[in-house]
Amino acid sequence: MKPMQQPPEHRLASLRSVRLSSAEREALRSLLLAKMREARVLREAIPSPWPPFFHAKRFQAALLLGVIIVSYGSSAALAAEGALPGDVLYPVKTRVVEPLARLVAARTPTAKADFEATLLDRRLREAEALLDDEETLDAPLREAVRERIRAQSARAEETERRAGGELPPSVLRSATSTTVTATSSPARLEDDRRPERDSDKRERDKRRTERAVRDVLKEHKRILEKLEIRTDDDDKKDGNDGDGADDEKNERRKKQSDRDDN
Amino acid sequence: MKDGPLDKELLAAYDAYADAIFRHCCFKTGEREAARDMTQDVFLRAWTSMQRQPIRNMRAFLYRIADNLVIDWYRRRKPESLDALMDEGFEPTEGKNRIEEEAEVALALAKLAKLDERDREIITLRFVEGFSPREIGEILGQHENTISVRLYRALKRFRALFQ
Repeated sequence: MKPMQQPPEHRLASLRSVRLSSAEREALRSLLLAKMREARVLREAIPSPWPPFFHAKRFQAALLLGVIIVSYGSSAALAAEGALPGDVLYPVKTRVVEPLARLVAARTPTAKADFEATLLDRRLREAEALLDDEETLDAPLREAVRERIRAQSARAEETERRAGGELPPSVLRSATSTTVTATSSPARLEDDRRPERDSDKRERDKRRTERAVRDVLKEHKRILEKLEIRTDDDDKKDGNDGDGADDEKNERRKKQSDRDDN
Repeated sequence: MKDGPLDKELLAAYDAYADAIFRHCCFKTGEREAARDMTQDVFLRAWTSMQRQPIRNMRAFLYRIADNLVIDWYRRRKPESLDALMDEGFEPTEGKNRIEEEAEVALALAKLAKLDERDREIITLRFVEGFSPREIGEILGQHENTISVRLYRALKRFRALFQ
C-alpha cells in the first residue's frame, strides 16, 4: 500500500519512533531507582511519631468516623436537652442522655435518689409545658406522658426508700435553692449584726425547707391534676383498682370537689 | 537495600510508559533535554503518590503529572516551537534510522506544528499514543463525548493541512 493513500493521521504513527535512546532510558532508570532508595532511607531515618497502625487507611477512617459520631452525638444530645415528649429528639434525651447521666452521676444511694427525683421533676415540667399546647397533646401522647411520670415516680420512690429518706432530696434542694436565693440577702445582714446560734439557724432552715417543699409538691400536684393522673394517695384512699377510665375520672372529680368543699 | 513492591510497580510502569511520556513532553516543550528531565520527575512524583494511595489508572495518572509539569515549565520559560526544533537538528529517533523514516517524522512534526496547542495535544494522544476518547477524557479531565467532538474538529483541521 502506498503511504499517501492512507488517511493523513496514520502518518503520525511514525512519531512513535521519537523516544529515549537506550542509554538515556537506562540512565534515567538507574537515577530513578537511586532516588527512590534515597527517599526510603530518609523516611526510615526520621521515624514517624505515630505508631504504624495510625497510618493505616482503615484506622484513619475509623478515627474520622469516631470524631463525627462523637461531635454529631454530642450536638444531638445538647439539642435533645430541651426536647419535649413527641419531639424527634425526645427519645435521645430519655433513652441515651439520661441513662448515661444515671451511670455517670448517680453512684451513692442518696445521689441516685436525688437523680431520680430530679428526673421526676423534669417529667412533670415537660408535661406542664405540653399542657399549654392542646393540639400536640393528643390522647396517645397524654397517655404516654402519664405512663412515663408513673414509671419515673415509682423509680424515684424506690431509690428514695433505698436511700432511707422520706422526701426526694432533689425536691428539697430545688425548694431550698429557690427560697434561699430570695432570702439570702436579709440572712446575711442578720449574720452581720450578731452571731446566730446554730440551733436557731437549723430550725429556720428546716421551716424554710418544709415550706418550700410544700410549694413544690403543690406545684407538682397541680400538674398531675391537669394530666388527670391518679396519685398513690388517691389510690390508697379509693381502695379500689379503678376498672374503667370513666369510673376513674368520675371518682377523681368527686374527690376533687370533696377537697374543694373542705 | 531491597526494593519494595511499590518500587517494582513503579519500575514496571517506567519500562512500559517512559518512552510515551518522554514523547508527550517532547511534543509539548519542543526540548529533548527538558522532556528527559520531566520524564524523570513524572515517575518520581508518581512513586511519591503511590506511597499515599494506590493509583487506579497508572497510564492516565502519569500523563496528568506530565501535563502539570509542562504547565510549570511553560510558566518558567518560553518554549521552542516544533519548527525550531527541526531547524536545530532535532533528533527524534535513536540508532540507525532510514532516511525515509526520518523524512516521515519530520513531515508529521511539521504538520503538527501548524496546529494549535489544544488540537496538537488531542491528536497526538489519539493517533500517536493510541488512547481511546475515554482515556483521553480521563487525562484531560473532560467527558468522553467532549473529547470525541474535539477530536473530530481537530482531525478535520489536521487533514486540511494535507490538501
